Amino acid sequence: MSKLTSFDKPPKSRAGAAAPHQYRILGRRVLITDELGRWALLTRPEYDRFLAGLKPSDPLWPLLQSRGFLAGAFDFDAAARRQFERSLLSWKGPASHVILVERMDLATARRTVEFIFRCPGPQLTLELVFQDAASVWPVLWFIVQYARRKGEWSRRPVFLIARGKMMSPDQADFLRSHGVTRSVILELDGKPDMKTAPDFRAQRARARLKPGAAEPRAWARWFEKWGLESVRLLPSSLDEKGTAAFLAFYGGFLDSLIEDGERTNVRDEWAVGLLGGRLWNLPGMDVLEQLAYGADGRVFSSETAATGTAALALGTVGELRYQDIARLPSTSAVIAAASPDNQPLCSQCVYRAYCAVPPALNHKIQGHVWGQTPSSDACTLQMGILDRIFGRLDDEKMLLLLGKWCVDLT
Amino acid sequence: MKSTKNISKQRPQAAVPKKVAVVSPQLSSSDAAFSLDVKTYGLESVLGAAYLMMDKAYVSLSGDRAKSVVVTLRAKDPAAIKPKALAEEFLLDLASQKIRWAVAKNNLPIREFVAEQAVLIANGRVAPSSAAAAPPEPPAEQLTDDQRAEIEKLISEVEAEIKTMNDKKVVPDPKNIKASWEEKQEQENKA
Repeated sequence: MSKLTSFDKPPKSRAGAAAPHQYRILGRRVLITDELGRWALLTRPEYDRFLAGLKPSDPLWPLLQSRGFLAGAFDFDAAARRQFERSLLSWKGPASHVILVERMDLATARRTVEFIFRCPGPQLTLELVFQDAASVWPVLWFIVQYARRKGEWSRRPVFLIARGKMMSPDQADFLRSHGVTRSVILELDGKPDMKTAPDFRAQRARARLKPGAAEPRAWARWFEKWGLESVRLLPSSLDEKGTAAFLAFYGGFLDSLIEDGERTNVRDEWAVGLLGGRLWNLPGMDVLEQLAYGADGRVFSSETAATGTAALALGTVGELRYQDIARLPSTSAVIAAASPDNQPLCSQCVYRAYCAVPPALNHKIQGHVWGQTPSSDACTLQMGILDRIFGRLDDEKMLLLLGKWCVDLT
Repeated sequence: MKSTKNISKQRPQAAVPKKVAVVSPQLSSSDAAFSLDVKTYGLESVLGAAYLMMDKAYVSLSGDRAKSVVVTLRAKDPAAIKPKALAEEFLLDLASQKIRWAVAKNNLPIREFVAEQAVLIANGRVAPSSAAAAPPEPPAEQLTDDQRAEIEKLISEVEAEIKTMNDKKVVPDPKNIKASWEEKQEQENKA
């Protein structure tokens, strides 16, 4: 069976019955979605009835009509508004800016912050990445102070995240008092030690699974116990084996969060990012969601590009103007490659409204921004994550958890 | 106000996929080949099904795209999947592609209309501009003298801090006094 899934016995369709939609077989059910992010989980007989043409007396009719799946009773105004809100027509600019602070000098740091505040958009997130806070502390301190002031002067909410190891209590206090969220990179191996306190205090984590990582439910409780509020699990490697191990772990992790929904404060960043339903919500999406800045002031389409290929360097702070980014060939290439409409598999995928592989990641793992989706492990990984999420959407606990994370799937 | 329309009366109906005879593949020890009538299966469906096989097979296409296309599949890992299994999977995907393309073609007018309306909404809110013209540069912040002085003060503080750090670099620390709280925790845990 291909990645899109196929029926052993294809259903019969009647022209003019079903509105635009894609389908996917999830176990015994058929998930249908439209490109505007509306969805329904049906049984196979229900899907057959839907495709053949529902009568208004059918019990399914009200549900599918309200969600815009019936061609004969389609709400064009609602669909157009939704299309406007979710397409690039509503894009305001990249909200996430990753600054690679290591070895950055003060003048470059200043120009970088000034460039970031040239970007339009209702809010900005600056993620400061470093190895050792002690060695970059003055520049880190300056960026925090300067970004805070720029935020106040431009009257825009600014979120600051510090991602790196080794901070003295004074430095940690400074960051906390300036509203900087602390993010750590963890490696999960085996099962967690629930009794020993970790040697960090942070609110966010990127947790890479090592091949021996086990007991995802225990790890979910470990994150909760030590105060981590937002976790993004990462595979040990982006290949068939690493992806399969990741998805098995992720399924258990998500199950645990769903079961502990009322008690846990841990948020799964994958679910929040993907279910946002907009290309510019997808974590690390080149140019649309993210820009990254190297120590030498070079601007990259994303952090993945900054740490991978110079081909996606867009220019240098101080020389590059924000409004010129849209006219660069690299920008056109990544935006065209990111759009699901332009990818043959994505255009027919049931998760089209929620998912896209960042082009810089395609470049990293497959050597080209377009990638080749059928054989892409990044595609398999994201599709697997969404399978696990959508497979639980008929569970009220899951919907409550998503509500708690401010994810609106109505 | 909602405009609910019976669009099935407004637009021409695309052809509903008809039941077609199952095509038999030509199997060899390494390949599975199909000769597919383009009018029966639809070129998009054939190309779509072939594309989906690319994770497990090398796919070659030949023939006349207006009449008949020959699809040849060769497993990337012959030990893992035999030509017959490849052929069966291709046929299932081909049948699914027919459904997917039928739904897509039937709904083309809906999608076009919705996209057009979305663009009109955008144009109603933002002044139309020519596609070639670059968007205006965001207005530069007009900083007050106090704000400028504050930035300069910040920079001089950081420069002083950097100078202090550079001076301190040469000072030995045999008792590890400068180690951060986290470094000490790490060392204690290791011990």
